[in-house]
Amino acid sequence: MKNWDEVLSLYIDDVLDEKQKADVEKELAASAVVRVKYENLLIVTQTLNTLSEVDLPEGLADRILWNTTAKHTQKAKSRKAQWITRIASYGTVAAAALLFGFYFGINRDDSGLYTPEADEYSSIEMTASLDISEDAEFGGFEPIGVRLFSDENFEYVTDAEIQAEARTLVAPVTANVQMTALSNEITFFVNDIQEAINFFALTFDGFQIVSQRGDAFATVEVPAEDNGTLLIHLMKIE
Amino acid sequence: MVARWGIDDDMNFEDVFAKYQKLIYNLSRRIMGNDEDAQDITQEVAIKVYRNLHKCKGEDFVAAWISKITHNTCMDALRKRKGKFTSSLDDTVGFDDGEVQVQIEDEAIGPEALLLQKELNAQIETALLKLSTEYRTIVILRDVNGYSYEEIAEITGLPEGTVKSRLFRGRSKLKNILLREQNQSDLR
Repeated sequence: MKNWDEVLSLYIDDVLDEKQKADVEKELAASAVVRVKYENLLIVTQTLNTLSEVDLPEGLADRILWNTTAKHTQKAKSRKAQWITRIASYGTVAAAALLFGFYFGINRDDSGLYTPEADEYSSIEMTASLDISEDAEFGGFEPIGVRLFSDENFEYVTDAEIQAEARTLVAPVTANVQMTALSNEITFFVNDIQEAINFFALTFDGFQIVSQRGDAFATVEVPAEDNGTLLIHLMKIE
Repeated sequence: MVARWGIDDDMNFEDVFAKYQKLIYNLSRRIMGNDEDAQDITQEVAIKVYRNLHKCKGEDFVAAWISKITHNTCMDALRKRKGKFTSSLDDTVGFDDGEVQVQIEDEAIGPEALLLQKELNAQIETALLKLSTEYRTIVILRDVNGYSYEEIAEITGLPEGTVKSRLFRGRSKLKNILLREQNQSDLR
């Protein structure tokens, strides 16, 4: 006795030879049971064939791209830039100190890390221009516009456009930076991930990724002992 | 053949991922049966594709190549959790190998019964999850993704004969699950 589910499955896929197909069609004409089997099977396969694809959850594709490519390129960039970063990091930390120092140091918790209050930056708007000394091994930040405000979730957002010119050995790098400060972290969001990685690879030795939210790649911690410099942690993934 | 992959030099990972991300996500979502696992699998597959893209030699095979990686990644994930999780739905369906338990009389209700069911697409997605992985995967690759028997054999590493038999059994089981649910619905 024929296994009609098997034969009909092959018939639907059109992989039977002409004689087998003729046998099936003869049976379909003669047997109501086989015909019902066939029609039900056809409905199932046709329905499966029309199942739609769902979109990836919002942000997933970007996050995956970032996680996938950054992990690899970052290592290479870090290796290449290792000796440069040693030279450059001191000047950059100094620049960052000047950049952030004017609004850090306002509110520090027991751990020594800066923690903004909900309403702290809700209405503050300020701009500053910094011109790092020609003596700095790493170039200058200028001009700098900083706008600070909070949203309903008490997330502190600053917009800044920083033009960083690497005066040592590399072509000028421009980074458009959006900064989001949450709790004691300053998280940088950049428009161009690769550029940002290059920028920070050249700038900081041993940077760390602490967020996998698409384009976030760094945090800044502010120590309690403000002796004129900031402790900046840019951390690696993993 | 799917064994020799190819990809043009000017195709980069970002382009490939942009084109095939939905394939990866949807295939893994249907094999794994949930969104959370699908997200993890998609990430894992992306890394594998990124690392091995240079091995590709033909753009025509990229979809099958990526499907193979996705399939294998799903199977690895399912193997790892084997023992921790078993599908109770499979048990309730309770198929013996190749033998459907829904009786032929059930089909006498006719195709119109299936046709009349509302939201058949949603029902069939749910019914797919009641198949065991070995049948589900083959049915998805053939009937949802449209791969040939040969391609499915390459993707899954199974002989073509096994692909054929799992396909017809999977389809039969799926059909009978839907019929059974239809019958239960009619009884209510």
